[in-house]
Amino acid sequence: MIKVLNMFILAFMLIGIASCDLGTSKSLTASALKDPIKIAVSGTPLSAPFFIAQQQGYFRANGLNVELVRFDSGVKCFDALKNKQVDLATASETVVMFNSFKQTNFSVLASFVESDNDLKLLSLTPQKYQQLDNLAHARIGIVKGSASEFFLDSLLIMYNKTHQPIERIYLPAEQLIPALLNNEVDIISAWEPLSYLLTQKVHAHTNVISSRGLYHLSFNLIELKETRLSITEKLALLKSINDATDYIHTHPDLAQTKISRVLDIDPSQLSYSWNDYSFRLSLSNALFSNIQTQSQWAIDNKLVSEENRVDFRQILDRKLFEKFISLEAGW
Amino acid sequence: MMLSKRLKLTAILCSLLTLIVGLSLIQVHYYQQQIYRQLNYSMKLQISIDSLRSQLWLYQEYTDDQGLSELNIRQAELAKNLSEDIQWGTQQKLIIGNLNRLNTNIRALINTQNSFHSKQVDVSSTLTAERLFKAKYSMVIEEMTEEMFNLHQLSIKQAKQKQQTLLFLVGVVLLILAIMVTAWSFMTLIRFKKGLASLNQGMEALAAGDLKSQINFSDTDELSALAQNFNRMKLSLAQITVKKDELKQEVDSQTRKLIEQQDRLIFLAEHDELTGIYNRRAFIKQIDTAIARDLRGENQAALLFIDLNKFKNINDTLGHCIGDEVIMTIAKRLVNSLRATDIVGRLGGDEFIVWLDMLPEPIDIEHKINQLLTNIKQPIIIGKHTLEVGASIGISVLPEHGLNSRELITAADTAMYQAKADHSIEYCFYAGSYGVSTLATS
Repeated sequence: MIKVLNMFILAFMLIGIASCDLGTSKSLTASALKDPIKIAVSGTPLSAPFFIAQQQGYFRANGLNVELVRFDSGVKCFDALKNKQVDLATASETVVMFNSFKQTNFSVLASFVESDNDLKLLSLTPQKYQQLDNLAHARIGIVKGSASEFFLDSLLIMYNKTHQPIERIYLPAEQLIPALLNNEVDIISAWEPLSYLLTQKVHAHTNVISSRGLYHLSFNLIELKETRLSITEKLALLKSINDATDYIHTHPDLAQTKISRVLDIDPSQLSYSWNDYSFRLSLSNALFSNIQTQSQWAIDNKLVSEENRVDFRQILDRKLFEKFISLEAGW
Repeated sequence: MMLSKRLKLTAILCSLLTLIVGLSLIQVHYYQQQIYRQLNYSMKLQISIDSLRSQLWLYQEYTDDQGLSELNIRQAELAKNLSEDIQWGTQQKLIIGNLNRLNTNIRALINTQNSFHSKQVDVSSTLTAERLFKAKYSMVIEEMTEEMFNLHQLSIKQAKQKQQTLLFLVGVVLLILAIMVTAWSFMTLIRFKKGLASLNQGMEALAAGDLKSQINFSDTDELSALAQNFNRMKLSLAQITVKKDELKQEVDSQTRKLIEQQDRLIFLAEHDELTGIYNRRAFIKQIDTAIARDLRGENQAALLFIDLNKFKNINDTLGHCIGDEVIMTIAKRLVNSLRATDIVGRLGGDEFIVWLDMLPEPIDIEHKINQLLTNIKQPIIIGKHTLEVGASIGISVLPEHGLNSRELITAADTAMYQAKADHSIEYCFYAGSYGVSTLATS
C-alpha cells in the first residue's frame, strides 16, 4: 500500500519537474563564441549595474560575452567609443550633450542611473555663503565646460544671483580640492567623490547649500549608430542591466560590498553617496529635457556653437527601449 | 489495517482536502485583495501625480499665491499618499522611495523658485529662470511617470507570479490529495469487496457441507477477524462432527465385539472347547432337530458312540498336552470323514458321538464305520512321537433303536460297551438288552 502511494508521489514529482523545465529554455542563445562585446565604463559607483551584471553572470545568462573596459571618466569612455575601441560606452548626459554638437553618429540606448545630489557647492566657510548670499567677488573653482560649471550656473539662475559679480576660476577636477584647501578659491563646484574626499580632510560641514534635487545627473549607455551589435544582443544587454538593477535593489548591502571590492574604494566612500543613486533603466523626456537645458546653457555660455545644435531626438534610440519595455512587460 | 481505521483515514484525508481547499480560497482572496489594493493605490498615486503635473503647469502660467497654495495642497496629498503603507515588496518600496524623493525635489524647486523669484526684479533673468524651472519640473514629473510605470509593471509582474505560484502549489497539493483520497477509497473498496467475497465463498462452502476448507486472509482488519472466527467455528463444527462419527464407529465396534462375544459364548456353549466340535448338549439339540426331520421324512439315521482305545495310556505317559493333541487330531479326522449333513460331537474325555443323517435304504453303514476306524487308526505324529489309537464304536439306528436322542444315545452307549467288552470287535450295533446284532472284528 505504501509502495503504491510512493509511486503516486513520484509520478507527481516527475510531472512537476517536467512542467517546470518547459519554462526555462531559449535563454542561452549563441553569440557566446563571438568576439566579446566591449563596453567602456567609468570606474565610479555609477557604473555599478555593469559590474554587478558581470559579477553575477547576467551577461552570460542572457547569452552575451561582455568585456568591460574601464576608463577614468565618461569623457574618455565616449572617446573610446568614437575611436571604435569599444562597442558601447557609458557617459553622463553632459558628455552626450557636448558631443552631440560635434557629431550625431551615436545614440543613447538608455539611462541606467540617476543622482539628484551628485554635484555640490563646497566651501571651507559654508555658513558665509548660505542661500548663495555674499557671492559678490567670491572665487569659485569650477571645471570649465562641464557639469560643474552647468551646476553653478543653474544654481545662480535658480537662486536669482546671475547679476552677482563672481570670479570663475577654471581648474582641472583634481585641482579643485587642493585649490580650496590652499585658499586659492572660496567655493568649488564639484562632483562625487570630491565631496567625500573633502570631508575626509576637513572634519566640518562644507556644503554651501542643500542642492539636492536641483541638478540631475544621469549615466547613459551609448552606442555608435553603425554598430556590429544586433538588436537581439542590445535587448539582451538591457535585460542584463535590468537584472543587475534588480539585484542591487534586492541585495543593496551585497551589491555595495561587491562594488567596493571591484572599484577598490573604501566602503564608507561608497555608502556616502550610494543612497543618492537611483538605479533604473529609463529613456524618457526627462533625459531629453536635461540635455536640452544643458545645451541651451552651453550655447548661452558660448561653449558650443548654436549653429551646430541638433535635434536631440536623433540621438535617443527610443524604439529599442520601447521594445525592451514591451518585452519586459510581456506585451 | 482495520476497516474502521481505513475509513477514519479516508475521512481525515477528505477533511484535509476540504481544509486545504478552504485555506487556498482564503489565500486567493487575500492575494486578490492585496493586488486590488495595490492597483487601486497605484491608480490613486497616478491621479495625484497627474494632478500635481497639471497644477505645476498652472503654476508656471500663474505664479501667484493661489497657484502656490494649490500646488502645496497637491504636493502634500501626494506625500500623504506615498506615505501609506500597503505591504509593498522591497523593489516597490524603493520605487515609492524614489517617488518621495522626486516629490521632495519638486518641493525644493518650488521653494527655490518661490524664495528668489517672487519680486520679479529682472525680467530677462526671471524668464531664463522660469524656463529652467519649467524644464526641471517637467524632468521630475517625467521621472515620476516613469517610476509609476515601473510600479505598475512590477505590481502586475509580482501579482502574476504570486497567483501562478499559488495556483501551481494549490493545484499540485489538491491533485495529490485528491488522488490519494481516491486511490485510498478504491483500495478500501477493493479490500472490502474481497473480504466479503471470501466470507461469502466460505459460507457457501459450509452450506454445501464442506467442513475442511478455510478462508484465506492476510490482512488484520475486521473482515479478517470475521473470517478467522468463521474458520474457528468451522473447525469446531468439523471436530464435533468427527466426534459423532467416532462415537458411532465406537458403538458399532463395541456392538460387533459384543456380537462376537455372544457368538463366541454361543459357540463355547455349543462346542467342545478343545476340538471345536459340538458338545453333548448341542449335539443332542442338533440331532433332536435331525430326528424330527428324519421321522417326518421317514428317513433312517445312525448314531455312533465312539470311545478311543489306548488313549488313557497316552495321556498318562505322555501328558495331557499330547493327549489333547491326540483328541484334536481325532476330532479333525472325524469331521473330515463325514458328510456335511452328518453331525459329530464330543461327550468328554476320549468319547465322541457321530450322527449319520438320512441313510439310504438298505442301511450300509459298516463301510462308513470302517472308513472312520481306518482314519482313527492312522498314526498320529506329535513332535517326536508317533502314536496310534483305536476305537470302540457302538451304533444305534433311527427309528429302529429309538425315536429320540436319549434312547438312541443310550442304545449306542450300550452297544459301545458291548464292543469294548468284546476285544474281538471294534464296533457293535445295538441289539436291545439281549445282545449285539452285528459284530465286527478288528
